Amino acid sequence: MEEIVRVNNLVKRYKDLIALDNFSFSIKKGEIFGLLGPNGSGKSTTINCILSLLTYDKGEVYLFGEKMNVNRNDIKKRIGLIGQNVAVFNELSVYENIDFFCGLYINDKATRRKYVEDALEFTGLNDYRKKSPKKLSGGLIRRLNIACGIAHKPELIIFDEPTVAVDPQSRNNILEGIKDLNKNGATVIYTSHYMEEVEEICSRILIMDKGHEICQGTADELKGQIKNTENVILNVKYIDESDLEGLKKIHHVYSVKYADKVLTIRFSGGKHNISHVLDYISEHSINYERIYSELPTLNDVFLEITGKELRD
Amino acid sequence: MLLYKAFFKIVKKNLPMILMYVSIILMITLISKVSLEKSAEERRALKYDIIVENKDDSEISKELCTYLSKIHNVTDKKLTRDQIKEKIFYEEILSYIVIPKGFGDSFETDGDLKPESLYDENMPVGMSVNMQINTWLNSVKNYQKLGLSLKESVEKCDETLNPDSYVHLETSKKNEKSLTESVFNYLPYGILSAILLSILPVFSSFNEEKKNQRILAAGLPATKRNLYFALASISLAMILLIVFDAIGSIAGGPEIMFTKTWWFVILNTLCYVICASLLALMISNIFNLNNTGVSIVTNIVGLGFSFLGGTFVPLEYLGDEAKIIGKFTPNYWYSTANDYIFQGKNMSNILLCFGLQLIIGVALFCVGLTVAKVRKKA
Repeated sequence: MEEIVRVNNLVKRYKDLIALDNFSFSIKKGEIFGLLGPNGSGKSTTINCILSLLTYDKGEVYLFGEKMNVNRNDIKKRIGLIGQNVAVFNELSVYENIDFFCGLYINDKATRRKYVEDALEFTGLNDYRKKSPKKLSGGLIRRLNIACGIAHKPELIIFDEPTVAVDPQSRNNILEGIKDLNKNGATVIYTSHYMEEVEEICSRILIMDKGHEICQGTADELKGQIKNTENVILNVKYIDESDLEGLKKIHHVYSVKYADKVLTIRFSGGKHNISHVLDYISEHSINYERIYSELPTLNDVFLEITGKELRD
Repeated sequence: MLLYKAFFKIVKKNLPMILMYVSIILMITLISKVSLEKSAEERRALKYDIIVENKDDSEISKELCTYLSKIHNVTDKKLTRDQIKEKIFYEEILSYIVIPKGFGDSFETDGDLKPESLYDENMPVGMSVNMQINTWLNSVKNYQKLGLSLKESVEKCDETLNPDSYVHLETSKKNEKSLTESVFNYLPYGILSAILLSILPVFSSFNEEKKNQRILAAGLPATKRNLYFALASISLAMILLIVFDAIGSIAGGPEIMFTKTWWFVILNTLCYVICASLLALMISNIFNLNNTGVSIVTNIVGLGFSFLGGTFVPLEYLGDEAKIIGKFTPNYWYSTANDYIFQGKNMSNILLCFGLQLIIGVALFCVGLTVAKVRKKA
């Protein structure tokens, strides 16, 4: 399949800080590619380097099979950017904003008019076309931000943490919208530090930290790379050190962690693990409020590889 | 044209504020015009009500009556002493003049018989009518001595002594010039404020980091973008220049238009508009202002430059320290050029002031560019 993005050994330094350390990856046409990593891991720097908004010290970026640089306006016109901060003009109406940003890519007035109408339709902003962005709710203004980035029907759309500080309903709308754009043929790069979102929409995920790749693959592939198969979680008000040691001795348990009144027991294989835990806590009279079991998440992948939480 | 249009759409949002400054200049013009016309009318209104009782039937007495009726509101009436006193007391008349019988003969033979003037001695202005009569009679006598006939002498006196036509002509000319000069002197306040209020919000909006990033990512070349902004700024500056120059020119009336003075004044405002636009660009390069910030900067810079640069207070009334600081503002050189133009000073002085305005503008712009470059590198 056609390669839309190829990043080779990208190095970006900010004085002594290495933001990107020989970072490489590629994205194929039609993918929703998730770039997952904690804050400061280099996600936005990667995006800015891809778009030539930042210069880099070493490496190469190829977009649509051609080498990207700051003067490749023809390539830039095939890309849409939706950042985490809303970047629209409060002085212009919803329609004028979409028309302006679309006009940066599309010169023909008739085509532009149609594209703007399509973007309004797609984001559900038809009823607000004459309104000022100042009068829109938080969710609607996010939709406007997206409409401004996709109105010119780009082949590659970059969403740089678009759901930061967004309410759950708007977040779901945004994620559904991204899926629809992908269905319509766009290749998507989605950066986030929210693993659930990435897991939900991305066909392939690259987890990064400190400017380099931790691992990449589909969500299942990534989870398959770690020994963690199940987590049993209990809400416990108090537990002795001796009990924590005792829990570690249960078969297949390889990690027990107690923090903020939450006891997390990680298993590597085994069946009926929750029953074994229940047996132990009833034998040792440990009081708990709630117990449940869950499959490992991308956070567990990150935790197991880096030794720290993705949310840290 | 997209950026050009967006530029003006953003400017349009600030139109009420820009119009406010146009209105301020219009109001100043109107107030100046009304106050100057009023003072001119006051000068013309120095016509008093007097009564002349002509007991003589000579030519000179008739000519005297005619002369007095030209410079005052004259009634030909005969009153009793009590009636005269009452009219003077109640200020219905300023004086009562009696031209005695035989005055004509006495005038021809250089006799002592003269018109008698009755007025309130507590009001010295009453004496002025007496003085006007004496001056006129002496002048007629002198012209006659030069060999002119009575009629010719009276005509000469009409030319030389008629205060209404003489004073009116001079003051009227002076008023028109003063009004134009004062209105054009006030223009920099309106021009600077309007330019700051229109350009700063646009650049602040476009320079906002995330919006700027989005525009850069769209592949719009920086040179193209700067070109459109420059074109839009020039268009805006020209519109404001035309509006403000029109106010000044209309206030001056048709006499001033297309004269040498007018062209110089227009050139002066053009230099100032260029400088004000470059100042706005400097501020937008250094500061990223929100709406409140734009208002604050507009007021501080607009009023500060106007006070220090002689826009509100004539330069001769400024203190030495204020003048030293003022010389770094374009307003100072605008006001100086304005003074020179209306004083008719030589062209080199005026051109020097134009040049200094442009130099200040370019210097400010360079400072803005340097700061922006340093910041970008950092």
